[in-house]
Amino acid sequence: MRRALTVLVAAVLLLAAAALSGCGHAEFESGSAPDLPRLVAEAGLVVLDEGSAENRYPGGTSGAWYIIGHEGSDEAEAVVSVLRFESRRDRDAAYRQVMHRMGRRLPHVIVYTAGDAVVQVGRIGDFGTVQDLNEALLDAGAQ
Amino acid sequence: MAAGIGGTPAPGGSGAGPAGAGGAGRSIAKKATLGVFALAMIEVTAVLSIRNFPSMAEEGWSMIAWYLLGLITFFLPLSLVAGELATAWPQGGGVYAWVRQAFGERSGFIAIWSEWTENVVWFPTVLSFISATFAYVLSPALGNNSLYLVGTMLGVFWVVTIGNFFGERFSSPIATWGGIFGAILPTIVIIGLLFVSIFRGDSPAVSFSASALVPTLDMATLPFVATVVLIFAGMEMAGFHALDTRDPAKDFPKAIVLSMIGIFAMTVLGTLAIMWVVPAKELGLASGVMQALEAMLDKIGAGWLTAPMALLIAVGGVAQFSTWLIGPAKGLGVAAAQGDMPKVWRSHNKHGSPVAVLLIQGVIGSAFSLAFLLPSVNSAYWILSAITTEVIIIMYLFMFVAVIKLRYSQPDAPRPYKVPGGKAGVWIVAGIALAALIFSFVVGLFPPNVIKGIGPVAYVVILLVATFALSIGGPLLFWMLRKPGWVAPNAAAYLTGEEDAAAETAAAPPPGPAGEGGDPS
Repeated sequence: MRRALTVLVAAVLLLAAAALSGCGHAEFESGSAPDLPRLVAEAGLVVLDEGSAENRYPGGTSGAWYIIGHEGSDEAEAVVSVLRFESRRDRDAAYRQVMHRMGRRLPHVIVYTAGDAVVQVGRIGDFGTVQDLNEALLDAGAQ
Repeated sequence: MAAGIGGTPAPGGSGAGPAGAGGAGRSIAKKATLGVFALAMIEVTAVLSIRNFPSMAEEGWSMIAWYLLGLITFFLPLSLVAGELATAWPQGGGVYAWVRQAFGERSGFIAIWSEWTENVVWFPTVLSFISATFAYVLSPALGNNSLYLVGTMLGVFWVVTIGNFFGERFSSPIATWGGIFGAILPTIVIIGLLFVSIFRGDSPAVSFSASALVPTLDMATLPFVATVVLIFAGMEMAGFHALDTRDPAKDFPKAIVLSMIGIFAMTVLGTLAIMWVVPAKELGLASGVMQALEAMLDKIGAGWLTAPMALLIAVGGVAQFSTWLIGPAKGLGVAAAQGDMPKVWRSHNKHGSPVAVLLIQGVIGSAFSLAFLLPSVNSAYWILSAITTEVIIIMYLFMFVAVIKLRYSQPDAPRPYKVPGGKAGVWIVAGIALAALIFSFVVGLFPPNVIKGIGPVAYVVILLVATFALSIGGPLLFWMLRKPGWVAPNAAAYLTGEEDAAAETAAAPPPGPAGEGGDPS
């Protein structure tokens, strides 16, 4: 058991070195976030309403929200939030905070990182809409 | 490592907890120090989570109905069942002891192993939350600095771990004062700001209508039920402190009722306050508690309160972390003393603290905490997190089935507090919770859309296999390697805290293979 503990401690030290070595400090290689209105259109959906608010996460540059629905309908099927950041480190830190903002299980949302942005699809009213949007986001390089 | 190893006999005296491995001669009698208030604060600290407020506030007025759903389907049943089990079997090990009473050693071990495993994987998210929140006291940008994150996460982890070596002398004040200043006080401030906003004549960010109170329940929103159910997880936490409780029969029910009402009222009002001030659309962009709070304080013109509130919430995070760190560890330490795990796991010190379990979980938790910070393993971490959420549901399933089973297998056992309504009552109460938990478990298997290269069926299979491997695989491995020497000579004392039990156990032959020992002390 002591050997196992020693191995575990060594693993912890290695991980500490990796975590401290500057992971996530790089600027963006793949440019900015995907153009959400364009992606929405590509997915056969429409933006019913949109707006902006301050991005309060450290390193945040802008924040925008989009209410998504189907053409010819006023019904909101999802709300997409796009938070943009100065650096990948800032984006990844915000991603962690968005992902663990609740005690144990996330509310009904899907969170992506895409370019310099954290994209959150929430208040989902229709799975089909989200599937279409998901494919468009993944094709645009979201993860 | 632990004072308990070697079992040096010690003269009887108060303050000594369950003896260490092999410590048959050590005094088991310990001074019970916890009363109603201390127990209630353990519950409040474990369950009340301010960081849930902004996400729930996004739901608008329907959040009240969602909370009520969580109350009826899980929080109330869990409180009632924990009350009955904790008063009827006020033993060391909490959930472990209760499930063991109902289904024997193996099931008890699986239950506590499941809770402990979930905990260890969950720790990094709490530590990271504490770290990012505390950064707001100094400079929010600090929260994005790797050196600061690693330093605070590991620092808090090990300070709290070592602090818990001192048993209730550390954990009880941390829960009490941390709960008061880190959970209750900031929630009261948030609720106070609601009244400030009302007195200023601000109109609510979300307009009220009767229909807005009713949540939309359809296939798309049903998964949210699974989220709401687990918001109130943790009411079993006080049960781990049964041996430290002055009068479990009287104190547990009072503490559970007191804390349940307090937690629910503060949760609803705190969420209402944020919802009242910050528009839901903006909350989507400020869903972290500090971002939402900052938005709220700015709107009310009290931005200067951001840093003090961050300090309080970080303190609350540390207290919550400490409560979850020691509770399941105590349970696992008791299971180890019954021979479920190798000797080293059962080492307790003179304060009754399961030092070996604390050290092992410290090392594993540290590794997870560091891996959590590596972007390349982020996705893997979230899958692991999803798995462990399923694993803790397994623990709760055991607990609710146990309360039903015990009504039949031990109908005459003294129950100072009982779930009302006789057997029908317990079936209804536990049945509602079981249905909610099974639903939550199934929903947890739904594949998120973002995982590339894994089909939905493959994802479900992977998650199921991993869930059962984690919850049952670990215990199975220990049983395969099990040796008679793993049973502590004073094994029963870890459950009862009585010296006589220790002597009896020391004199008795070691029990047979695990799983057959369905006769808990």
